[in-house]
Amino acid sequence: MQRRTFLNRIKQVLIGICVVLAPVAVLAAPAGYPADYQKIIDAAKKEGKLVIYATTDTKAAEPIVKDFEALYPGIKVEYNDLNSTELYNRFIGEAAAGGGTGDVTWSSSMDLQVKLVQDGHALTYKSPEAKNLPGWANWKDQAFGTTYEPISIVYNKRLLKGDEIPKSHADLARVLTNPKLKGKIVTYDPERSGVGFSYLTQDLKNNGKGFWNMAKAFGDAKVKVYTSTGAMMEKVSSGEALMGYNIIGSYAFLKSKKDPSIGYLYPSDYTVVMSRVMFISKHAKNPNAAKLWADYLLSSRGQQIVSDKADLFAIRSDIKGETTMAKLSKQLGAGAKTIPISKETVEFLDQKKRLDFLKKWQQALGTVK
Amino acid sequence: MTELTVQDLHVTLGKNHILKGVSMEVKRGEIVALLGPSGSGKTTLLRSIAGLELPTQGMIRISDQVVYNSEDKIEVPVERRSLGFVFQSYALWPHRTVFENVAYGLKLRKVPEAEIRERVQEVLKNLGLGDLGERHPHQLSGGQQQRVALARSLVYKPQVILLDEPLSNLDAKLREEARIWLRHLIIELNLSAVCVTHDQAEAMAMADKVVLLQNGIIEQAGTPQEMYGSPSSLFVAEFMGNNNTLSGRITEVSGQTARIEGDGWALNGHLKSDLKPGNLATAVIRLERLKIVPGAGENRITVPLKSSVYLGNTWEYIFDLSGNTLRGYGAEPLKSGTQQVEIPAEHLWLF
Amino acid sequence: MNKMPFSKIVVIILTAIAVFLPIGLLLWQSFLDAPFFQPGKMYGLDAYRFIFEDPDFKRAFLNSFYISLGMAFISVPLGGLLAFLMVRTNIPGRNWIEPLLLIPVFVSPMILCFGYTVSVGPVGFISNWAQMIFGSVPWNIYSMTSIVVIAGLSHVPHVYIYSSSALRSLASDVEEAARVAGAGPLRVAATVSLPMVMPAMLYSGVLVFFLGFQVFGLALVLGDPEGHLVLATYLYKLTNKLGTPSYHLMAAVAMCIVAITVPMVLSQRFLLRNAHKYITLKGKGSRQRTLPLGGWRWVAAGLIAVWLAVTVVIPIVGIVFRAFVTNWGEGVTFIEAFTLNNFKDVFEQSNLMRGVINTILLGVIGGGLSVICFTFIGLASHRKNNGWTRLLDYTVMTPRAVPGLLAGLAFLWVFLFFPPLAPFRKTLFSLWLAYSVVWLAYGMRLVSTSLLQVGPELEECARVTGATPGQVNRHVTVPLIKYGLLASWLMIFMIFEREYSTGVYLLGPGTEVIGSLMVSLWAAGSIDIISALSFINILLVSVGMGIALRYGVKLHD
Repeated sequence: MQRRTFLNRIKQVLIGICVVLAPVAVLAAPAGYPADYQKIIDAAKKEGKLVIYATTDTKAAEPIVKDFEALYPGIKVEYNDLNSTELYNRFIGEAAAGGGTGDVTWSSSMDLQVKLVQDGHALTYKSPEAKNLPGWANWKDQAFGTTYEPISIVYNKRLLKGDEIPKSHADLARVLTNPKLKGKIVTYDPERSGVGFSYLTQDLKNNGKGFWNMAKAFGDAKVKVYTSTGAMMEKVSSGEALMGYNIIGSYAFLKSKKDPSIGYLYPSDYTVVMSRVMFISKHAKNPNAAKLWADYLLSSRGQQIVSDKADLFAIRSDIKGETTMAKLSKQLGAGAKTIPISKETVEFLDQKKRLDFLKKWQQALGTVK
Repeated sequence: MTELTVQDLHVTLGKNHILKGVSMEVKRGEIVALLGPSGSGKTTLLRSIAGLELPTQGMIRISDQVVYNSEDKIEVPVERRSLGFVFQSYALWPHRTVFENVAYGLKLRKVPEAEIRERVQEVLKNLGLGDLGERHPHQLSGGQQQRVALARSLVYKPQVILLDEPLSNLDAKLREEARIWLRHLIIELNLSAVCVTHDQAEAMAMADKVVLLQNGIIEQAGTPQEMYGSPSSLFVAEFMGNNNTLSGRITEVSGQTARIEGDGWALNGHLKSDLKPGNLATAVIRLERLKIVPGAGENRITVPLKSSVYLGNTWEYIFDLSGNTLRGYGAEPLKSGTQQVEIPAEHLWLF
Repeated sequence: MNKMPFSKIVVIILTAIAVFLPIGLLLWQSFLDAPFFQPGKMYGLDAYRFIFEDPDFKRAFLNSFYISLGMAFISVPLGGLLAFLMVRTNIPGRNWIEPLLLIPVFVSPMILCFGYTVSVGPVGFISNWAQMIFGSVPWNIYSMTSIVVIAGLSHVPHVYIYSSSALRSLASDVEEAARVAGAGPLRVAATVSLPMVMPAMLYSGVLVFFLGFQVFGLALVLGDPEGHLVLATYLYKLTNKLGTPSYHLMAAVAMCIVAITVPMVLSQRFLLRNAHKYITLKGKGSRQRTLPLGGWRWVAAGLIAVWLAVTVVIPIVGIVFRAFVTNWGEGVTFIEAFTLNNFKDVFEQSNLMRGVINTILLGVIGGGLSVICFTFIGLASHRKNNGWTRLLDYTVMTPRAVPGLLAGLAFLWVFLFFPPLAPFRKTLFSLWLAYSVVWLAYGMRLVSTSLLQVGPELEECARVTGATPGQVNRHVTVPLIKYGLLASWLMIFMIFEREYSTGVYLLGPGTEVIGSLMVSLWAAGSIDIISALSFINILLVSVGMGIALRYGVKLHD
């Protein structure tokens, strides 16, 4: 008698589990995807796991990861939040060691990502979502731009007002002569920060001759150079510095929401736009899960989360919201200058070119004669 | 029956050649004292027997087991030599009770628990430590600690027990009692014992045989009587007792006796080394052999008394012999002035 | 008796592999022109040529040199003075000042620096008061001078530890003998006391000097605004200079640091022998008399209070303050900026939370395991003196010469390319091994101090009684040093909590610890989270300190 009720209970539990698991079993390919997409989903579920190497903060990435896991239950995401050089180091080391590495890498350091792709570490994948990307954001179906993030100028709202705040790069020259700003401007040290370097070279491209004048003006205003984004934000927030130049817009946006001292702007003459570059590793142990992730991140569902929850800027033009390409394009117009994802991106990884640029930069700043 | 044999043992520690060929034997039931000044190698010898130092050459045999032989490359590890060893500091393990300290050797020998309890209790009782089993070493007096150390090395009934200055940490009074007690105990248990000491009185009181070491070699070995009464060298004579020493020149030799002359004195003595007339020599006589006599005569000298010192059980006289000090004992204080002193020729050793 | 059992040889060989394999990898890498695992790498001296021609390397080297020199000049006299005041005078509150003196040893310099920025940075709250009083801030926390001064002040405890134990072992009878012989107190100090503690001071001077070449966190945080590079930060940033990480250059810089520090570590060995020469001369256990300072004792206490305020209170107050506000600066009040969100963020982010838990695990369990390993290593050379133990001696000292950052990198390579270890790379084991090797010298000093206190006759006696060497260890030696080992565990716990640089390159999911997370977050993340993590880290170290004080564990010998 007792034995029977016990067996019954087990039966109930088993039925319960089946009910919960049912939706997993009948996952279907999203609408508009190729008919055989189901195969990828099944294979990915068999893999059961996805390893992502990324530079995006865990906190920002969490809603995206959660939503992905909800969409494809049974695939556990292992999200590695690394800084860009760590990511690169780790990836090439692990690739060489052959013991498995990130299935997907997703980094804001565009040049290093492109270099990895160039060096043959990326898997070619014709994503069904690729057609929804701007052309420049898809490089040989290997590297994909996933976000559309303007590079901004941040300033201390409590301490800088009106005319003291620049409107454009051209306007900077005027603002920088303000003695109040002397020694109170911060930017990346291109020598010690990879991203800082790449934004400056974009400035050079977009600003032409004006760039070196701007560099000289920075030098005269005794600009302080940093490696740490967090530290720069902190300085601007506390008033130790008043203005930060070339800060990633998504950081500025996020920080300004929490910190009443932080204000930010996109220069009106041109605004450099960067994109977090993603590729699927050729060495991936879970290539199918990686494909699902790539498609998901580029899908409208994924991009909506990128914009709404992660406060990164969505790259798809069909996504509406505050932090989207659609909104920014309207705001910036022709001033938006995207960093291409191509051979050009790695131009300055050439040692000689890089050191030449750094030397000129230091000369303009007046730190080296 | 020989319990312990050491043959031509050499030990080098670092760059120092500590033992330079030492041979000795210990018979069943015999107590041998290793005597010598510090640095003579007596402790090294003891530790080599135990296996705590590795000799460079020679042979050591305990009972009929060779435990070390440089030629056959035999080296039995310490723990398999089955010796008793009492350390100078007693080396009681502070984290174990008296009982556990004593029982350890039996435990290692896998003796059943009940038997261990019985044997430990017995040895503790024999050594007068019956009710101290549960105490820790730091709760014991020095004398008790010493007995625990002894109990610990006796409980597993070794054939040979080695003692490294076992009494040096006791105070003077206790020490004199302990050496007699210790001797009785060892004899009672029919053990063979080797005991290191730097105190010649202790050696003589405890041992059947004394081995006197100096600079890594044996100066002399023999019964306490031989060592004290018939030293083979000046060093042994000096080490074994309190002496008057006089320097002089040999003037006459006949057989085993000779005449020695110094500054204002001339005496007959017993030859202890190969001396010829004209040789410089040292004359040695034990303090207690000096006699105060009423008048002049053979081997008597007249010396002024410098002072008499009261030592409680005796008086010590201090004379001046042309700048040298001469000392002797007597029952009465002496009046100041000159005295006649006899130096018996058979007790005056010439080296 | 002097034969080396096989098991001990195994322990020694394993230790040597754990130490020399990673360092050997670094050395090899420094002579290549590409990462060692890349096909087509070539041997050559290019890496060295590049850094020697790089003006930044020269600058970094000079800065490191100034820091080392400044540290020695600041910390040696101050540490010596402090030791004298604490050991030999009747300065008030000696008992409770003592543990406070050691705080800088156990708090990560990264944390101290964040704290300094908040309290005495250009708009720090103390700077703001100074601004109100003087009209300007009379110091610049980011200048080279400040970095040197802070490095110097925070290394005072290192000197204090050595000189105070030397002073303690110097019994007053030696001085009294000099007094009786007719020397005045000053003369006694100059001709007896000082020369006798000199070897210890010199030893700690050399220690501080080469620690100066390994300064990392301090320069990473305070050197950033004005771009003051030191060797370790130069190396950390070298990757960006050429755009792609350049292992060969990093390895070459590492070898330069090692080339400077190894001779000093070796010279310490010589100095230590000298120091012991004097310590064995100490008088017979007579009680130490303290020198009455009269009214000066309050001046002396004031001096210590100022040092404590500058080195401990100011930075820690700063970082604790920062952990509880959203933003700060001129015109921001604590009440309106107060928040607990920073902690909420930490607890909500799985990697940060893992970091906190891992830090605790690594300190408590890892620390315990390390002490067990250190004990095995200590026992392997215990009471032995032969080629093997000399090898072990050098092995144990070597990691001291290698900055933790590099050791971490080398261990990453080992775990990547040494197949038997590969499965453990993403586990705490990799971190634990790196930490244990980096702190090998420190840990072994703790353990061997305990081991040396065991009288040799206690062990010999057990042997004679019939115990094998292994049984002696289990039944006598280890039980006797039980409390010493527990104390070592606590020390290692605190040092593991504090460590920040070793884990930087090993950081990944599963291997996060507070220290390396802070270095990583410093590059891109927000100070809010770093402050909250710092606060948690300080709490953990405080727990360790509290236990130490509660159970009377001596924080140094």
